[in-house]
Amino acid sequence: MSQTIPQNTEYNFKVVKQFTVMTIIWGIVGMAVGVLIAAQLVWPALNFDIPYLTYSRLRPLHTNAVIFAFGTSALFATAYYVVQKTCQVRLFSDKLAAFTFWGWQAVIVAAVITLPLGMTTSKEYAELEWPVSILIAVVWIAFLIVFFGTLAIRRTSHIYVANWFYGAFIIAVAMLHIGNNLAIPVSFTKSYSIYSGAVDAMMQWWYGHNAVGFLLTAGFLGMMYYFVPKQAERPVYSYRLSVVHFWALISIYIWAGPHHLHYTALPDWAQSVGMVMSVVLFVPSWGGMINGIMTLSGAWHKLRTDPILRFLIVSLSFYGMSTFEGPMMAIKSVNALSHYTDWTIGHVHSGALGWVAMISIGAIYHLIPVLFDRDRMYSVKMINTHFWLHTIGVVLYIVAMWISGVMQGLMWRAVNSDGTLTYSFVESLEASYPFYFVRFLGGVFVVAGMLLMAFNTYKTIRSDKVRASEPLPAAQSV
Amino acid sequence: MGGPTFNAYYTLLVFAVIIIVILWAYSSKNKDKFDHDANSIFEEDEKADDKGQNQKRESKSDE
Repeated sequence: MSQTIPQNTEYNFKVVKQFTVMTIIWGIVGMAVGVLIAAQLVWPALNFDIPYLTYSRLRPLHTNAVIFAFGTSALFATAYYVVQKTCQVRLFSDKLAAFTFWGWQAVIVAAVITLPLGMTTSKEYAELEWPVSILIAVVWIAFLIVFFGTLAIRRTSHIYVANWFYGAFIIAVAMLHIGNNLAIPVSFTKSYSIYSGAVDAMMQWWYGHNAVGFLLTAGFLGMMYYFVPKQAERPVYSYRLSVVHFWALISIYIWAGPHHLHYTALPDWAQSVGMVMSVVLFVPSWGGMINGIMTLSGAWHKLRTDPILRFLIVSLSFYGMSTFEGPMMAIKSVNALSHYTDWTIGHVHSGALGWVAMISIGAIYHLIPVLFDRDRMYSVKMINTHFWLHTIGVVLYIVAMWISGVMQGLMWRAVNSDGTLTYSFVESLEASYPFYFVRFLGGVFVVAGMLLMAFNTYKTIRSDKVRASEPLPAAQSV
Repeated sequence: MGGPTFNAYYTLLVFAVIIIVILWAYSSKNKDKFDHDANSIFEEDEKADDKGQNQKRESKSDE
């Protein structure tokens, strides 16, 4: 059955194109807001005393824009592309797919309007108020129907591993979103969670960490298992390892949430479970990372000439780094130092900018020529420049936050011989200033790279004559 | 059944599931199937795509 009938499948690339282009646009918007709030931490006057531009309102806008507008658009685009290509069949429903695109854009626009207005549930990464929250649930269920409907009508006998990761991500996010957002509305713009106290906190971080685990990890691993082998032009290093990776990851991740609540009112046993499960997660995470990187085994030279492959492989190194750092930070004694400091922000961005953004950028550079019928991107040199801008930006960012975070942790816990605190909070804040500037600089590098990507994409889509002007980097190496 | 007891059983269950998955994935009976599945992403290119970027992949997936 997996032998295909030689006929040309008419794929639905329209929705893939739409999501791909919006990924770049929302990436620029979300990251630019990030740079603005990073600048506000160095120069507080940059909020111009306008309530809509205060850090407290823009920070959730930044996180929502990069996770749900940039990251999730990339996931929509690649999930729709990969499921069609690997199942060799057109999407289950074009109308429903179009609904997910316009519905999701409506969610993002609603976020861009409501968050600066100060409408928020105050739940981190779930700030959007109940009407938007319901729209998210509806769009997500439509996504679920399109994806699994397409799997159901597939023309291949096997469901390729990337689809398993995408499928788990879609189901888990539906469950997490609906579970955590249950609330009682008191007006059109305000609602209160049905959970309270420690249960509310546990629900919130069950949601919060599994958003990391299933949206920012499982979804993007689906991307990795398709685009890394495709770009490297060789099958994944070990398909068997990928099967073990999948089942181990999804069965362990769900219990890691309590590590966000160490030394709080959460029962001690739940904190210990969260810590142990987080440490165990190191094993499947590194199994997946090694599987991705070793796909290049015997073809390492391709990294020299192909900047798209470099994006994909370096993203895996950042994935490995973050998934080593994460379990370590989940250990209670380490957490006592790292929690509430900038170390956490550094960790998040090594995952978000290093892993999530780099794998998405690599996948999109692979996709655009295919979708728009071009031999390659307009300028391979620009991809290379983007790679270095992004890498330097990420390294500046995370190194600054590591130093600042560890310093804050040490200053906050320092006590004099009489038991009083050695440093006031403001002293630790003053000590962090230089690192906030370096972080801002790192952000500027990343956004500059994204702008270059947008220009390169525009030229690729708009001009036809550039197509054969220079050979593909991958072609040179063959 | 309280939280810690539930968690103890859950841990055992996850442990058993992962052992079974490892045995299944690495059993020699399934080797050919998985090798074929790993190459399945290149099959599609044999069909219709005749763009330069895809031509190179075709040669790799004929077996």
